[in-house]
Amino acid sequence: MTNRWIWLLVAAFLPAWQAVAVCNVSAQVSSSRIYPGQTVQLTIQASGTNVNDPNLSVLEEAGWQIVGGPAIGRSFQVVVINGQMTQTQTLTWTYSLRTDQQGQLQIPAIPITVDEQQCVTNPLTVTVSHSPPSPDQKGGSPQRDGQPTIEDLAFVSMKVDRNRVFQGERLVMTLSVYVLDRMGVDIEIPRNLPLPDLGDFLQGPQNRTVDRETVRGLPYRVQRLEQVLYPVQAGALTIPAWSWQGRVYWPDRSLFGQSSAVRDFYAPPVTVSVEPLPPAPPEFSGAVGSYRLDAVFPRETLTVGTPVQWAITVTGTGNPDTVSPPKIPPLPWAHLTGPEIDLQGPDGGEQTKIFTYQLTPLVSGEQELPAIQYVFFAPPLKQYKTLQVPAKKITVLPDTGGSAGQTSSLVAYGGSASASRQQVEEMPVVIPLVKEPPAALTARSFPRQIRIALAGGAVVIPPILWSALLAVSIRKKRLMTDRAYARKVRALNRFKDRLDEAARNDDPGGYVYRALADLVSDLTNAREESLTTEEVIALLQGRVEDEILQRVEMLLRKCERARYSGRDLSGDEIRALRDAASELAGILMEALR
Amino acid sequence: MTIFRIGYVLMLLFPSLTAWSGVEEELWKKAVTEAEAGQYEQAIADFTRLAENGLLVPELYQNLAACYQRSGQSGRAIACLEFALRQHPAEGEAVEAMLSGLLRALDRQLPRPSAGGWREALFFWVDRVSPTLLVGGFLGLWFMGWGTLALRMKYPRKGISVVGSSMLMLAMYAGIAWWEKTHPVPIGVAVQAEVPVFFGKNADDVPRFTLLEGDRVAVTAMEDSWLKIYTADGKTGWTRTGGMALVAGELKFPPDKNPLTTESGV
Repeated sequence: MTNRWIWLLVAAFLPAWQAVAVCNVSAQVSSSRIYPGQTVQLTIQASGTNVNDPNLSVLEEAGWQIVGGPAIGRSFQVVVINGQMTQTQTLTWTYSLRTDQQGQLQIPAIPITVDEQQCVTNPLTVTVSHSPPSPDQKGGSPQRDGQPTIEDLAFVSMKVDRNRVFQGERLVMTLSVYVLDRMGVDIEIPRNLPLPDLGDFLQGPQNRTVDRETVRGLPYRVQRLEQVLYPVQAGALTIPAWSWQGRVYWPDRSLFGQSSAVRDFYAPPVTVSVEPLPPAPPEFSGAVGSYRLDAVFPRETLTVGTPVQWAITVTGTGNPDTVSPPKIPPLPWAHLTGPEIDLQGPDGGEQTKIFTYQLTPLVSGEQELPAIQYVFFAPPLKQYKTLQVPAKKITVLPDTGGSAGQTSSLVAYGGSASASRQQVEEMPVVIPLVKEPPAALTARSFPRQIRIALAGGAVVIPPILWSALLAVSIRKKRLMTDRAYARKVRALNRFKDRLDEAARNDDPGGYVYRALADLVSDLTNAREESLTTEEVIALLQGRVEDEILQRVEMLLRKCERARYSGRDLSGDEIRALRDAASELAGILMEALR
Repeated sequence: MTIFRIGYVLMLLFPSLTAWSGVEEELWKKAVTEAEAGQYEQAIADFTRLAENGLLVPELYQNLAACYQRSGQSGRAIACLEFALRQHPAEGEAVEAMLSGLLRALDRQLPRPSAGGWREALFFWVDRVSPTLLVGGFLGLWFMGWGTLALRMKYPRKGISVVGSSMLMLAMYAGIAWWEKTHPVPIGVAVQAEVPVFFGKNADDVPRFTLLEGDRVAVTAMEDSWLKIYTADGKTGWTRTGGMALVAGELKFPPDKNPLTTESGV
């Protein structure tokens, strides 16, 4: 009894066991941990005599996008046992997959039909996360079997020095390319390495460095690109992911061999929180950063009419473009021009913007250079800061060559004394009023449309005339040199002349005959005179349809009969002959053109 | 017959045309009298009417500039002179002198932005040639070039082809130079005491820099009520149209004050 139950169980599970036994399919992924948006290679392998393509619809249901592939590999194996040959093939399909989801994502079992058996691949799990093993996690052990994986050979990162800044504040973004510092390991990057789209930021200077760093116990050569940024607007601004494709090289097991693989390098996006500036005082200069203000005035004693330079410098870190000239209060005792602006200092470091004014004293006596204020926003203080250069007393001496308050004959800065005097004494320009109505008031020009038409005509007409003239010239030349062409062109006119003569002549049949025969002769460039009916028919043979040929022959025969019958043709008969000839001439012209 | 009809209609219209030019002459004199009496707003309105009627003479824009200057609107005066210069570059010397005087009085250092690039490199040869001379040269060379090539059909000499083709190439150069000269890059003139320029089209942002009245900038784009501008020293940004006069094929002031709209010339 027990044996019978055992046999029954074996019989029931046998088909399932067989199905599992013949399914030789598998799946594997190139990386078990990726970033959202990064691609991963899925390789499916199946062996059998008759292997169908895998059904990938399950992948899309599981949240994966197929962005590339398949790359198909095929190999055959032939086994002969006891004279019976069995052929087995092994197929591999490689797909590029991508997902924007995060977390533990499964690549489900993918169905494949092998030897008419429904098989499935092994399910796989991929971790999709924004926080991959960080290069900063030093001392870890990312190696597989003691050897670095392809991901360890080279990777990239993107960082900013601060995640919270104020609008317009300086921010440094660092893009790093890590390459394992071992012999034979190298990376090929695109010639124009794409940078992330920085549309929400103003870009300042760039700095490139190369150094070494140990990451997770492995030594790396690191190429760094530091880009200074200034956020344009407030809010959460995102620097998009930095992704590009490169090729990684590493030594293989042979003595001098080298392997390579194309890799997608990806650094996840970085979000920067940009705070708006608080309500600004009216004196705010627009500068954000850390600054100091200085003023350089050459001396404390000046002379009327002698210009001097007054330099005000704003030094600090921040966007130099936003450092505007300080506001100078009115100087009733002097003429002030400028400023000339100069920028000094290393890119990305502390820079000095120099505003140079030219001051020409106009009134002698004890005068005062006003205090200068400069208001900027200081991010560390989270408030506006006012810098001040105190007022300064100076003495203006009268011009020794003239009365007080007048310009002197001293040599002026940057020019002659007379030029300086003109510059200082020049009266403001008053635009004169034109009192008389201009002549153009009555003499109007043509309306715009007419002017456009005239201009267009002037441009277009000469080349059109020239083209027409050229066409006429070419035709004339051809008529003189190409006899066949000339005969063909003149054929119809000659034919009409002959027909007209037929009406006036006492041998109308003969003239109609000649008209038609000469027309055929001209159109086919044959002998010019005395063609017989047979010759005309022979010329037309194969060039026109048989029906037309018969009509031509019939007409020519009629003309011959009329000519040799000895009686005069009536007016109706002549008209009938001419009409028939004219109709045939039209048909022949069309056919032999 | 049709020609006779057209002639008859023109004969009928002629008195009304002369009458219209008489009206304009009266309007001109009235505006001048108002300006001399210090009624600048009235004078500006009358000169503006003449401009709206399609009068494109430099004297009109000079008078408008004079009225604006006397009423303390130097930015608008500069815009009028810039427009006059643009419409009649041949008479630029006097207008340039008035412009530089105005700018000196305002103490403005920002020069007029230029088209730059290949245009300046290609057309600097004809920088000081008037557009009238250029268009005359174009037409003369164009007709002579084609005429010479036509002559080549009668007298087949290679030299004639070379001369004709050279004339046509010179004609095209003169034509393109004339077009470039009469269609310069649109410029904007600040007509308010201070016109803030922003990084983007957001007036709540911190201004990138500030234009002062009379500053001239190139306008590269117009969107809604915003102008994208760049200055002669290379700064770019967006500013509201409310503070700028636009000098292009027509002269446009901000809508709150005496809009001027004139037709551009061919």
